[in-house]
Amino acid sequence: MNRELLSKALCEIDESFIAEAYRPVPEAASSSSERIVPMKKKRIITFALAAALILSLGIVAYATGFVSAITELARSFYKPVPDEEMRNERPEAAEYNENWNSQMDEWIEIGENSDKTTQSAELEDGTTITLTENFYDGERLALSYILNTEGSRIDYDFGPDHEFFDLLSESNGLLWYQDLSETQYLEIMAKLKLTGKVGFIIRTVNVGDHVTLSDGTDIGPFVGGELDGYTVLVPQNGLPDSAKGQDKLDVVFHVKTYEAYIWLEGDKVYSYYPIVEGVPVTFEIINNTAN
Amino acid sequence: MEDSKIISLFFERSEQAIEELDRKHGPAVKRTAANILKDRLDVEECVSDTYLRTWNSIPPQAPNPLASYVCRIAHNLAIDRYHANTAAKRNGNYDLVLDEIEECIPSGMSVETELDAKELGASINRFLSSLSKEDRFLFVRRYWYADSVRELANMTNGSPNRISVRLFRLREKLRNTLMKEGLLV
Repeated sequence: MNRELLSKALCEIDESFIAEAYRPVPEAASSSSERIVPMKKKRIITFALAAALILSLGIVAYATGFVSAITELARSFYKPVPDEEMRNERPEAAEYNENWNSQMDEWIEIGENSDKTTQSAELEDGTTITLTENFYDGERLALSYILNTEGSRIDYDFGPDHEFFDLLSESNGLLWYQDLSETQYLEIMAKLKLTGKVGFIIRTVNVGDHVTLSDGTDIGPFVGGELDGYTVLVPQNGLPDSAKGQDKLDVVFHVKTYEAYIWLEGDKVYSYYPIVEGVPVTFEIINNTAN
Repeated sequence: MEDSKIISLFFERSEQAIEELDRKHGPAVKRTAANILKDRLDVEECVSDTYLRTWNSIPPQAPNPLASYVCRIAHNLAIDRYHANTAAKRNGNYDLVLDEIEECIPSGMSVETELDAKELGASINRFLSSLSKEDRFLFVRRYWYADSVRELANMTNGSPNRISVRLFRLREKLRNTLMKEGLLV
């Protein structure tokens, strides 16, 4: 019911907005086959979460110690609800808005009080991960980091003779190219157009969304956002008891080189994503209230 | 050919109007339909129906701009066909779009049952009015034109990742708007 109503409501979008967003479509582009096949809702949620955990090359903007990526992200994400609107709301909506506003204030304050001493680690492949900002008060944890990598790499030596070929399963068309540059994507599509099928391996360096403690305790999935290449993470479900009230935490990021085995053939997309073990990188987080 | 001349051909009841319309705006009409419908035959029929409906509505109408006018006809026809098809089977790209937009409704909540699409649409229009031009472009292209994230990235010279994050935030904002306007229960 919700889906159909939302779908029909979208049909009511004002003509001026439709016209504003209209772009001519070249004939060649209109006939291109964007291979998108049904995706389970879980994948959608995963995608949304992954999207919120984007990692990319950074621009030095917040590492000066004066500006907080946590604060700036909170300001960009939360738009305060004015008092006047709050007074006119139904009770449940007002409660939601109050919570919205208080969350923004909380994260701005966390950013303002975070430790902006940087810590860096370099991996064998030249990837560096730098913790640019951290906050821990015994109850709450927020981390901001920047990952510098050479970007995604593509190998074209993947095909029916490859040992993993039989592990492929039919996949969706939305996710496979999200880590590619425009040039890489076009190169693949050109090969597909030429031969009707193409196989390749995409390798990307990423950071796992689970952060652990040095004793192996999994703090659980982290969520957050990205701003100018800086990724801000907070535990999705709060800290486990074992991570609360400590003078310091040794948090471990798991930097992973993901490999995606992709086979495109006609309108079909087949893929295999093996589970990857990450390279652990430990950062020491001091309880801010202990200073 | 300029849109005004194409419309003149419609007013003259010249069949060349359809040819010129197809030549100039056909790709956009096809793409609008193809982003919603998976089956090629459905797309072709939707495009044909779009031209027929355009033929029947001009005159008396003389839409300006013409492009978004025909895209809207194609969009609405495709949505009708999508819902007719989807009773039997989920349908691909447009399911992804609906999956995403459905996230605007928090779990355990639903849209007011008494609410009609026009009222909800009016709320979405107010939400769109509050956005920056760039954010509005992204929202309309994704949730009305049903463009893929990759296509949006190409259009805006941004990365797919960044587009995804912005869409995620826009959905959050829309959810906030629907909550504030009391449209969710």
